[in-house]
Amino acid sequence: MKKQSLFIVLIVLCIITMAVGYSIFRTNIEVSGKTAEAKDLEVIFTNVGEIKQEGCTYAKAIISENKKKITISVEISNQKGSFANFPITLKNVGLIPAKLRSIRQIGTSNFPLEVRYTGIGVTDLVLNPGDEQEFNVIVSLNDNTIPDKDSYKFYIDFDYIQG
Amino acid sequence: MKKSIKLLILALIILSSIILEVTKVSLILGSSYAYVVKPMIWIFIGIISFVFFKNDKLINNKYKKDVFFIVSVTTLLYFLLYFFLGYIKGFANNPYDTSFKGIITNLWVLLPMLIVKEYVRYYMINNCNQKKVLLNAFLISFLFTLVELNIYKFDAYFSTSLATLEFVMQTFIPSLITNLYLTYVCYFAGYQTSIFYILIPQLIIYVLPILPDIDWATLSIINSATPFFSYIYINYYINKMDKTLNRKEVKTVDFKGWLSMIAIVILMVCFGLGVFSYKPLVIASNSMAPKILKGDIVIIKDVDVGNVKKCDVIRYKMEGYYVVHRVVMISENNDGEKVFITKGDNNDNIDLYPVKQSQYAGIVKFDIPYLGYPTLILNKLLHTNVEDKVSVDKGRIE
Repeated sequence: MKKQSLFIVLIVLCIITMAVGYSIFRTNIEVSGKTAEAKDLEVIFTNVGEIKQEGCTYAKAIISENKKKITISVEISNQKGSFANFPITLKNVGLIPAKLRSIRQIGTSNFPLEVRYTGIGVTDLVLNPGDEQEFNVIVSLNDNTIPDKDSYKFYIDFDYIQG
Repeated sequence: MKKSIKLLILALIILSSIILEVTKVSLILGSSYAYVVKPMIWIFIGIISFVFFKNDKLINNKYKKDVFFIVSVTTLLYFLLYFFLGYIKGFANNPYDTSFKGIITNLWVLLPMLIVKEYVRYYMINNCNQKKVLLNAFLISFLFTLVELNIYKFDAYFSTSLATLEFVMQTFIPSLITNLYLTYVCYFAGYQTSIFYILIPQLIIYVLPILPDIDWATLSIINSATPFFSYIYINYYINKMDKTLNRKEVKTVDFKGWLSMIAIVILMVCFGLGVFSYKPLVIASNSMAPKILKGDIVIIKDVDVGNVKKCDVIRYKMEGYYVVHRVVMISENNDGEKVFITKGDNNDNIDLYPVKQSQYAGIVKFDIPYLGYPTLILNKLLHTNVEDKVSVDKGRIE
């Protein structure tokens, strides 16, 4: 039994050492900019409302199957003042309060479009479990550029951390 | 008071711990429900349990230390596998608050519920009717599985048939398997062992600044497989050591056979998850007929992009799915990166959009006919519309 007790102590020390060593060497490990999945913390997109647009032949927002990402597609003319407004609802379906850490837009580099968010931002505002929040994504033509094509697609996802 | 009545009252009290969530009163309380009210509810349940069972003599189980040792090793292996997968799948920032205050808050939320649950589980399984211990073990495990379900996600769980299947496979079954394992461990080794199994990995998750970026499907597999295989070994060990059973009753398990089976299952799971440099992929269309047909499984090898040649069949990423087509031309862009023009053997035209180097995801080495049909059928039953998603634009050969 003494050998087993010693082995248990060694296992626990090994786990603690690995945890500490892992933290020290983490700068050498490739870390993505987003947050890992956690069972208590989950914020999902639940609904896309009625899209308002002007100067667009096509405007659509699709929530991904896992409800963590929204793909926005617009066909926008080069008329001044063209825009598409996407009202979106998200909900905290986790067990602990959450707050927004970052908004990631993928596919908008070199876009002649401007993407703005109203009703949401990276603040200390906490979304409690079960709470919903509505916000808008407004896609408009950047006045200073002439688009080389008229159809654009990009997606957004939000990173939430414990609030 | 009779033991059976005590157990029934306790089960009802535990079920009622989620009443505030079910009635949505927790929404009114906001963050104070998660950080104050819920831990207090479990402390209250703990006090009632202590009053019910304080005069019960603890059963001195002769296997307690051995089972604790096996569970400790299981915990270590789970921990190692979890972080090993991080080197495969990458790491991401820890979503939990890892400041000192955050760690203390999270421990305050976790510990009352964990300690009381395992304490109650231990006394329930050891005070129930021992003639029906298997049935009682299942009922106790089912009770704690229900209590662990996320009420806020109930609408999402049953919104579509795919969501329901995901709920069953990724949430309910792994939770039930873990609770069955913890009940089994409590029966033979006491609540301290089951607390150790849950607490140590969760404590480490609360503390570390980065965590493996593992999706729920993979986590579900690990969370189901680890307790399952640990149970098999504990069961084998106890049967072997229990000398009170006569030779005919000893459930002899060919341990080498079990070990081989475990190794094969782990290898298959890792292969399916893409851990090795050879990865499987189910084909959902006939664009590469007659060589590769719908329903085939192709084996993809990670080959350096510089070694891709004309006429190789490559896999490349589109948005939300992969395409397997043949390379008809290779060129380079201004940055010196490879650009591939691809075409399905059964298509008249080349794919409209050239494939960038960043989209390239391996070369097809060989294909296995028909083996992917169960996956396609399941996708169809779950209305995932996988065929509709596969729409590679076709261009003209110039």
